[in-house]
Amino acid sequence: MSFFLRRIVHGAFLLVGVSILSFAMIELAPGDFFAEMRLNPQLSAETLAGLRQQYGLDQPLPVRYLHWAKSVARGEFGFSFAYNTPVAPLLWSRARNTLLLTAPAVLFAWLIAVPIGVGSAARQGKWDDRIASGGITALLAIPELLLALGFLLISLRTGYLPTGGMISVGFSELSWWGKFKDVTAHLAIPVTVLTLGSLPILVRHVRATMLEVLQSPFINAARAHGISPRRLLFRHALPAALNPLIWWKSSLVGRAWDRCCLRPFWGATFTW
Amino acid sequence: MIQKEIESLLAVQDLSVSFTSNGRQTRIVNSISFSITPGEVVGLLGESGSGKTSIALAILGLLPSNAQIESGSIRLRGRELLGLGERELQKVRGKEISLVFQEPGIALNPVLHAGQQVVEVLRAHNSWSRKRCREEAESVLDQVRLSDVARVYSAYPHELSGGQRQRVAIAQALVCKPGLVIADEPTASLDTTIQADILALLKDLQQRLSLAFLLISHNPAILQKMAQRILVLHAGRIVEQGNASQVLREPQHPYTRHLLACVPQPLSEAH
Repeated sequence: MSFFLRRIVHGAFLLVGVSILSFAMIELAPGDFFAEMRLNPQLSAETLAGLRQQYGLDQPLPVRYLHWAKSVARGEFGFSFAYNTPVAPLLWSRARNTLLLTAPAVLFAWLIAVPIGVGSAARQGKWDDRIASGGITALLAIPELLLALGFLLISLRTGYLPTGGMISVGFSELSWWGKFKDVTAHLAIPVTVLTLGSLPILVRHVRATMLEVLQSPFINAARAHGISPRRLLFRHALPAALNPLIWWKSSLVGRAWDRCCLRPFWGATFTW
Repeated sequence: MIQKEIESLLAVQDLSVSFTSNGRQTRIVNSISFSITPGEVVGLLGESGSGKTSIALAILGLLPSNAQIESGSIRLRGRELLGLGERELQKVRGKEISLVFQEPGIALNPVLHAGQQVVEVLRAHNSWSRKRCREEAESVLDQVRLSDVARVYSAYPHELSGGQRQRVAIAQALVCKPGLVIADEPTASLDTTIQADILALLKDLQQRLSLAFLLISHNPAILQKMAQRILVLHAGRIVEQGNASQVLREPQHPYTRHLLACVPQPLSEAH
C-alpha cells in the first residue's frame, strides 16, 4: 500500500517537473503567438502590446507558470489563442479519438502476441516456432506505411471498408448500433495496421522473456513437482515473465499514443 | 534375489549418464548401483562435480537435453522408470518421489504466494476442491513447523527468510506424501543454526512419516546425523558404501579418508 502511495507522490512530483520544463522549453523558442501578427500592417504595435498584456504574455515566465498552475488546479488546462476557446474540450475530443484508435490496437496486439510468444518459447527451435518467428520477422521488415497503403488499396478496390475519416456522412441519424458499426468499420484498417505494426517486437519480447523464465531454477523445481507443461507455462512461467513485460506494455501505450495518434489528432491543435 | 527386488523402494542398477558439450561426450555417472528400502535414509556423499545432482535428476527423468543415459535401470517399487513417457513421469514426480532443492531462494517462484506453490503441487496430483487444497497446504505448512502459517501462506518468497523458504520447499516436497524424498544439499545455502533446525525437522518428519530419504551432501557431518547408510561418490563412481557410522569411522577407500580429513573439526561420536 505504501508502495503505491510512494509511487503516486513520486508521479505527482514528476508531473510538476515535466510541466515546468515544458513551459520553459516553449519559452526557449523565439517569438510568441502574436509575433507573426507583426507582419500584418493593419495591426499597430500598441494593439499587439495590448493583446500581449490581455493574455499575460508580458509577464515573466514564473508568474505565467503560476497563473497556469492555478487554472489547472481549477480544472482548466489553458486557453487556445488560435481557437479562442478553453483548451480542455479541444484536447478531450481529440484524446477520445486517440484512445478509440490506440486502446483496441494495444489490446489486440497483446491478445495476439502473448499466445504466439508463449507458444514459440515453449516449442523453441521446433517447426512451429520457426514458422512463427519467420512470419514475425517478415512482418517486422514491412514498414507500417506500406501495410497501411496495402490495406487502403485493397479496401479501395473492393469498396468493402471506408478509407478515410472517422464517421460516415449522416452519422447522427444512425441508430446506436448503426453508429457502433460505422465507427468500427472506419477504425478497422487503422487498428489493424497499428496492431500488426506493434506485433513483431511484442512477440519477440514475450518469447525472449519466456525463454529466460523457462530456464530459471524455479521452473525446473515446479517440473520436479510433477506440474504439467501447460500449467507450468501459463500459471508458473507467464506471471513471472509478465513483470518485465508490464513495463513494456506501459511504454508501448505511450509510444503508440505519441507516434501515430498525437500527430493527426492532437497535433492539429498545436500547429496553428 | 526376487525377494530383495520387492523389498527395495528404489533400485538403481548399473546407471551411466554422460553429457555432451562441444561435441565431446563426458561420462558423469559411471555404472552405479544402489537401492533404498522404504523408510531408509541413504546418504550420498561426494564433492561438487562428483555426479550427485545428475543422479537425482536421472531418477526423476529431469536431465537436461544434452545428457544421455547410456545404460542402466531405475526401478521404483519394481516398476522401470527409464523410458517412461513424460506424462507417466509427471505422475511420479512430486507424488511418489519428490525433490528438495539446494537453494530455496531460487527454487520458489518469485511471483506466486508461498501457500499457492504448495497448492500447485497438490493440484498437479489431485482433483480436490480449492478449499480442501488450501486446508491441506496449511496443515503441511504447520507440519514443517512454520510459526505463522497464515502469514507465510500469503507471502511472496522474497518476504520470507531463508529458513522459512526451505520449510516451504520441504512442504512442497511432502504435501503429496511421497514414499521417497530426494534432498539435494538441503541445507548448504543456510546459516549454521538454521541448518541444524532444518536437519532436525527433516529427521523428525522422516521418522514420523516413515519416509525414505536420499540425502545428497558434500558434508559428512550432516550425513552422520541423518543417514543410516552412506554411499561415497567419487568421479561418478561409488567408491565405498556401508553402514553410516562404519563408513565415517573406519573409511576403507583412500578418497573417503581424504574427504573426512578435510572436515574442519573432528566429528563428534555418532549416537
